[in-house]
Amino acid sequence: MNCGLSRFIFWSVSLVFAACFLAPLGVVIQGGFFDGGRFTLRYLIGVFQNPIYSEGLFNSFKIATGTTALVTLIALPLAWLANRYDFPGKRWISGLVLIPMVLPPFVGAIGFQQVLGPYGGLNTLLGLGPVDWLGHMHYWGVVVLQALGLYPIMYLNASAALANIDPAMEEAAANLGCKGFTKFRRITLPLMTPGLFAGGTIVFIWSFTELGTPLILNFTQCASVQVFDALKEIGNNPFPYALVFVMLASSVLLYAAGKLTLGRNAYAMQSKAAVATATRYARGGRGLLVALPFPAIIFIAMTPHLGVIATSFATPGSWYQSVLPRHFTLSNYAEALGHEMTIGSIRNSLLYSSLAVLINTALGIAIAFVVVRSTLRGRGILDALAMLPLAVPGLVLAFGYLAISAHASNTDWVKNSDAWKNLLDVRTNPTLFLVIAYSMRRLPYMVRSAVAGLQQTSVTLEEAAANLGAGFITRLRRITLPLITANLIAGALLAFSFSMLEVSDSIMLAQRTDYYPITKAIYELFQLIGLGQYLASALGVWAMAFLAITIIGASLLLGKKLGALFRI
Amino acid sequence: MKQKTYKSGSAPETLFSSPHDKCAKMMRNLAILTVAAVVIALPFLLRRPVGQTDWRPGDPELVIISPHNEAIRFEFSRAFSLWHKSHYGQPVKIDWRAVGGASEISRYLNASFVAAARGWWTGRGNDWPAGAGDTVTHPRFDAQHPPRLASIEGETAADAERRIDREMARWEKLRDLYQQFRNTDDARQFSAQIDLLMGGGAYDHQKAFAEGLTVPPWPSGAPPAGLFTDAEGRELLPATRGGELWRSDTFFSTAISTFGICFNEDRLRDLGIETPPARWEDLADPRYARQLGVADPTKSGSIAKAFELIIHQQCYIAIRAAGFSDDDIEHNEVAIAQAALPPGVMPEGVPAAYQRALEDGWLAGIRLVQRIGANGRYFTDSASKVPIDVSAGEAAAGIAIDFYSRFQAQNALDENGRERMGFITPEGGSGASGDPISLLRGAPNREIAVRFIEFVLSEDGQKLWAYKPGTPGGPVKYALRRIPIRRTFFPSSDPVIQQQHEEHLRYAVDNLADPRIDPYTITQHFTYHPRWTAAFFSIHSDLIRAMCLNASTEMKRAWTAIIHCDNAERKRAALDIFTALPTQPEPVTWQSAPRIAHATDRLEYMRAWTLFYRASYARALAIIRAGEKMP
Repeated sequence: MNCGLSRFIFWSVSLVFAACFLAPLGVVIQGGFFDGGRFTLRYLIGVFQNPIYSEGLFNSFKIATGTTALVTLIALPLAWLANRYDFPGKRWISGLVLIPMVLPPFVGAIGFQQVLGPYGGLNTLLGLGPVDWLGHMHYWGVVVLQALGLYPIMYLNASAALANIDPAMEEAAANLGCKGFTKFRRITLPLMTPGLFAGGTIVFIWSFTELGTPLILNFTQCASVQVFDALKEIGNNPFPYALVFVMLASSVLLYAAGKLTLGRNAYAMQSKAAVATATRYARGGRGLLVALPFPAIIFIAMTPHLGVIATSFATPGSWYQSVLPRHFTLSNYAEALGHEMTIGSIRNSLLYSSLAVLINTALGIAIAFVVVRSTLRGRGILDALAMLPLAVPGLVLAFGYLAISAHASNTDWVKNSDAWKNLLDVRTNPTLFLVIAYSMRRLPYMVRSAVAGLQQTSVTLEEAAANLGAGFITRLRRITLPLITANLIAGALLAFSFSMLEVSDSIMLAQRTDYYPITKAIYELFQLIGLGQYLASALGVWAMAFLAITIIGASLLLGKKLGALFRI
Repeated sequence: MKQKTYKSGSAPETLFSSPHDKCAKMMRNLAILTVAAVVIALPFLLRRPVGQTDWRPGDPELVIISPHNEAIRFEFSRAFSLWHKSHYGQPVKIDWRAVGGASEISRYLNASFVAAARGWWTGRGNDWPAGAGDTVTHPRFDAQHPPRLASIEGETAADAERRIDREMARWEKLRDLYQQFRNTDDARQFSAQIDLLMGGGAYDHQKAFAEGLTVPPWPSGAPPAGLFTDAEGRELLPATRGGELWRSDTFFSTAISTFGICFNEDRLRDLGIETPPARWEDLADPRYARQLGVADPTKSGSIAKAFELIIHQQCYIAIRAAGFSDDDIEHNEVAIAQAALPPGVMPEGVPAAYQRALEDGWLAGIRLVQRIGANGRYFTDSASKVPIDVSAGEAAAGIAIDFYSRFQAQNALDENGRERMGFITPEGGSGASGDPISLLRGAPNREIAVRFIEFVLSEDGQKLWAYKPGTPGGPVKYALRRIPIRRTFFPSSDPVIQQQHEEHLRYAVDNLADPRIDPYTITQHFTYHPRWTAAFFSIHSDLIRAMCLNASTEMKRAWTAIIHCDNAERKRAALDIFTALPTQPEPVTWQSAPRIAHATDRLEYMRAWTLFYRASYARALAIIRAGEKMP
């Protein structure tokens, strides 16, 4: 790519990123660095002096390491099986594998509780009496539950990586006598490193900063919960901001370390997988053996989902000391889906999330181009910075957007113009800020996917096109993008699904009913005392169904490229 | 290639798609589309017609920020619009702003006012000095006395003078800003574009007032006729009751909450506990170890209040045990208040033993809270989670707010219609706290906002809290089941009030005559003495945080060991260490605690306390363990 163009892309992307992400973040984080208007490092140093915070950081690191390892153990074999074999029901199963990641907020915890609680389904089924599973699992509980929720990310990236491998490579290895596990270790694994790195870093940073699961299991001695606790405190406490800074810095360092050790050896292949890898059809007992891991993992990972689904159909209070609810009803759905804010919230969520994904795609491709195809000096920094949004607690970013909007809306030119108010004042209309918030929070998926795609695609294909006289845009449109479509779609699916389920920004920025996204509608229903959990579950199940159909539908209906990704 | 060697029936689609395959594929795609269509259509099919409103653009609007749920918002919007129309001829649309719970609202309001003040201040050509954001809403900024500035070591006299001048100029700017901000209440100058703050606890409203965010709706002493007292002078909305502040010039409680214990009867049976808990002390029973649902007092003002009341009751018990009657207490407290001596110094006529008993009681209260905390399964951030968990059997019992528990109990009936969750208010262990509303500075729709306050406090507004849906004057859709505050809703020896009470009783969901619900009866059995615990409000929370949350792992380990230890001597030694109060940075006592609460470095204290408790718990555990190892 020519230098001027890459420089232009680099600077415009950096500018957008700085304005939409670094600025709101900085506005909030500075609270940990100023005391009565004066700069101080007291709080930052305090984080390290306080054994509670250092212990919290260490525990978070342990969680992240454990989760990433477990996720790899689950996802890699599944991706490999799906890549190598055809088996009965594969079409459906490979779409279903992704469903565990769409767990709606707030009600997920209820799902766990109904299944694993002392009077929950599992204890009743096994006749165990009131064993308190959730009360006694701490570190391992967090690791296992997170791994079961996050393995789809790794699976998607690993699948995309496998799909990109030119079977000729493996055939050549086989011809030279390299077979079985050796072939996998020496040929396949190195070739899919970019995908593994992409999935691994996302899972690692995600679990390093994940809040929900430790909260459900009451594992409070980790950094994310400590930040949350301190932010929710009634008094003013500057430590969470200093702690967020430390979390961000450690995420970047860990990412950089990972990149130096794992991400460096990306092998691009001369030709992309022009033909799909040879799949073997497994039938009968063998087919069953190959297929079995999928439903097994899916079923275990879907425990909370099944809990939520059953809750949504339960007559309030009837799921208690029984395997399933004793009485079923549809009235939760009638009430939740019929609520006057529901339709509006669905429409809003679709709008916000789709716009966010569009922005994501554009930014992701641009960043990936600079990172992979240019030789600019700052590209490594841009690459690492693009991972930051994963490590920022949602509440912190939401406070930042609020502060910026509040500042802008008190200037005269915004005050006196309805158009500007609609754009910049979240009290009037939060669309712009929500779209920015969603796209920033989910940018890392897109960047990682696009980077992985580009890394696996040899630049020679673009050069050949350039030799034949194709301009930059033509090359991008006709050569590069089609080659990395699988990766882009993988990233976009993740970004879209998680945008639809985005919590903190939605709750704080969407303040008027007209602009509620679906997560806020779920939150509002959840707040209704008594019936709240049932209504919220019903709307949550709707959201789950919608996302499941989007994911499975995308995998079934979209063209050949996505087919390659899911091996269909 | 291997790929092409498929047997029939499993032909790869890409190369040899038969018409049959194509058809199957189409069917599949159709199936997907149909399912998608059904899912998307469902909310449209189930949509209920939106309630008809006669509000038109141009009619009045009102903006309220509130943590109240959708049910409360819906009922108050509807009823107020009707009320306003019948009184003033126009319907009103309420624009509710929901940004989360009380702590998010507090932060949001503060940030909104700072931003508004900044736009206003800089718009008038002033600069915005460093630290101005903190100063504008500072609860304790001293605008009367400039700071005392001295030269720093190693600084030349000229440098020091320049620096002090600079600092002084900055302070003067801050002072001007502070004073003008607090003297301005005009939406044309600056405004957070919100009229009212509704809900949260009295603590949140007092905090908003201290930050300068709220203003009195009526000139002091001039509320609308008939609102606070009736024509014959009967008090309908008392300012204080049982020592609790129910209203001030700026905030007005609209409903009452009490605290108590909710418990799951099945869980209690499984744990071998025959009698349900009746007093706060019961929750310290070791049989409840890891079974209690407790909310984190640092995150919820109302839960912090509950803990304060637990400690307050222990003070009362200790004073009574020392031989002082209720009359003695009354007499002594009046004497102490009149003498206005430094805390802990007794005026003549009040025996030193009285104060000693109070201090011992306070200590006993902290220890009780500690043991309740040690039995905790978790400390959650949301007070409403506790009754949900207890009704599901996730926790055996918990500390909860009354209306959450009543609602949850009603929605968790068993086959025979029995409520499996119970709720009690420990006698003498809970006051009746208000749930207030306040008018915000620079309210854009001030006139309507003041009318709304009037409405909520009036008979018409109060009915919404208590009445069954569909009753005359009651809510139309949701039972809110909150306890109103107005005197006329509760039994009285005054026949006029009693008659109104009986009228209300016909339509109310809950039995307002029940002495466990009637706040006027509850407060008869409970007198809150602010001197005992009020100054400790924040320190209790911080202490609990260090004692029970930050050191929770060590605490639970030591507590379990202590519970299961058979050796009485070692058990006592370990308990002594377990319950000792921090000695670092200075010993925590009833006397030193309020001073510590105002310490600038609260976070440093928390750190020292946490380390203290972790070390104590480890030592307590070591004592028990040492015994185990011995033959």
